[in-house]
Amino acid sequence: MEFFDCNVFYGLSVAQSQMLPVPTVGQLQTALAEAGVAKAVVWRIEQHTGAMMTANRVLAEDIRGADNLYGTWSILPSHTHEMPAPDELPPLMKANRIIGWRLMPKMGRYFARAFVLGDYFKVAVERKIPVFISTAHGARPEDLEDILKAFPQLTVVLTYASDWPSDRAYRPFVKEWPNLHIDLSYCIGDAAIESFCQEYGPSRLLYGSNFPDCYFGGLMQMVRHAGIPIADREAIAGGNLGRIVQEVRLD
Amino acid sequence: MINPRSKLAAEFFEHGKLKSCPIFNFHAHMHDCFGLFMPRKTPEGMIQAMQETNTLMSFFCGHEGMLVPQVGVQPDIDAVRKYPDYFRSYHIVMARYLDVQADLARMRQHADVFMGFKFHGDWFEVPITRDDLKPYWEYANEHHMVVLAHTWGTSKYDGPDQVAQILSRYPNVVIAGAHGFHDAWERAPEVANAFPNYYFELTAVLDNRGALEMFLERARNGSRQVLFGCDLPWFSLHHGIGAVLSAEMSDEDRRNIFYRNGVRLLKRYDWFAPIWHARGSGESIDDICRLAPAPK
Repeated sequence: MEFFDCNVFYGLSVAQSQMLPVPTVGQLQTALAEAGVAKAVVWRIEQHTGAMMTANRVLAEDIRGADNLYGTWSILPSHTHEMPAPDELPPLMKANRIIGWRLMPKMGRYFARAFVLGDYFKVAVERKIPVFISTAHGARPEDLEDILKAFPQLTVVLTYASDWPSDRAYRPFVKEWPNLHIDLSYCIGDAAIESFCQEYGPSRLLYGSNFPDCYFGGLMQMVRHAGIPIADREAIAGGNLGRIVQEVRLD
Repeated sequence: MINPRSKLAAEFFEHGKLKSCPIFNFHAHMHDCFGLFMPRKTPEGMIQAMQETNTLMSFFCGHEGMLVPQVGVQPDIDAVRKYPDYFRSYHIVMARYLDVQADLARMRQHADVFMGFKFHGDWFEVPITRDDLKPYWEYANEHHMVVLAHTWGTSKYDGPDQVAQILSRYPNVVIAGAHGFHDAWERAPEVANAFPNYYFELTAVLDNRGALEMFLERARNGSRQVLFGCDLPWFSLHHGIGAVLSAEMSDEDRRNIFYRNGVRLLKRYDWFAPIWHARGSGESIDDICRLAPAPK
C-alpha cells in the first residue's frame, strides 16, 4: 500500500507556536521516509503565516528535483497584481513541480469568494488544477458553497478542520459537487472511513496527515485497517491523489 | 511502516491488533450526542471497534447521563450489565443538578458497574473544587477510585490549579486527566511530578504532535503516568494507536501506555483479575506491576 499524503507542510512559523517544527525540506524527506510515506503534496507554513509570495518561491526552490514532492502555491486576488496572472501560472507551475493552488484568506486578508478568485478558478477548471481549501486557513463553508456554485466542476481538496467528527458539515458538499475531495487529516472518527465509503464510495477520500502538527501514523493505521476492500484502501492511501495529480494539465 | 525504530509499530501496522499488546481505553462515551455523527455509538458498535484493535475494555461515561438528566445513567448501567467483560462506567457528576444521596446510593448499589466518577468542569461551568462536590471526591477517596476528569490547560473550572488542589486533598483518588491540560501542555508534567496519582490521558492530545513527547521528557515517571484513551465512539482506536506508534518513545513506553498502567490501576477492582486472566496478554498481573511499578 503506497501512501501519498495530501497535506504536509514544513518551515518555521513566526506567528504560531509549533511543538515539533520541521524547518527544512531535507528534514521533511527524512520524516517521510521513516514513516513510509512515499509521496506528498507539500506547502510551507510561511505561505500562511509569513510572506506568501516569497514562501511560494522558496517552496519551488526547495522541491526542485524531489520526485516525491508536489508543491502548492498560495494565491492572492489578481486585482492587486502581486503574482503572475492566473493564465500565466501553468507553465511556471510545471517548471517548479507545483500542482495546485492553496487558499489562505485569513492571513492573506481577502475574501474566498467566486467573484474575488474567479479568474483562477476558470483556469483551474480548464486545466484540472486542484484547489486546496482548509477551514483552518479562514475559508468558511459559505465561501466554499459560493465558489462551487459558480464553478461546479472545480477540483477541490477540502480540509475540514473546524469541528470533528464533522460528517454533518462536509457530506452535503460531497453529495452536491462531484470533484470535491476530503482530506482525511481531521476525519479521525471511529468508522469514519467505512461509513463514508458506504455512502459515497472511496474515490473522494484522500489520506492526509497534517504533519508536522499531527503524526503520519494515526491516519496511516486508520486507512490500512479500515473495514473496506483492499483496493478501496489503496485508493484512499494514495491512488485517488495520484489520479488528481496525473490529470493536472500544465502544458 | 509508521516508525522504523519500533517493532510494535511494524506489528500493529501489519496486523492491526496484537494479542501480546492489548489496549485499555480509559476515556470513552456511548450513545447519542448533540454535535456528533458517530457510526458506532452503541455498545455493540463500540465492541466491534474494540475487537478490531484488541482493546480489552473501555471505561466510559454515557452521553445521556451527561446531557439528558431525565434519562440519567441507567443506559450506562444496562450496557455494563449486558457486556461486563468489555465495559465499566464512570458515574457522571451532574454538577448543575446534583443529587448527592441518590448518586452515592447508586454507586453503592452498582459497585460492580461504576469504577469511579466523571467530572467535567468546563461542560457544566462548575469548578471541580466547588464545595458541594466534596461528597463525590470523598467517596472516591474512601474507595480508592479512578476518576476521569476533563482537564483543560486554560480552564478556570478544571485547569492545573484546580486539579492540583483536588489531588492534594484526596491522595487515594487516581485522576485520569483527560486531554492532558490541553493548550498548557507544560503544566501536565509539573502536576505529574507533584502528584503520583495524576495520569496524563491521551484523548485529544495525539492530534498535537509533540505534547506527549514533552510529557515523557519532563515527567519524572515518564510513560508510567500516561493512560491511553480516544473518546470512543468519537475517535478511532486505530488512529490513537497509530499516533502512539509514531511518537518518539520506546516500545516499553508504549506497552506502559497501552496496557501495563491500566493493569496496575485496575487490579484494585474485584472484577478485573478474571477478565485479565481470560483475555489479557498472558503476562501475570504481578509481572506487569514489576515491569511498570507505580509512580512515586
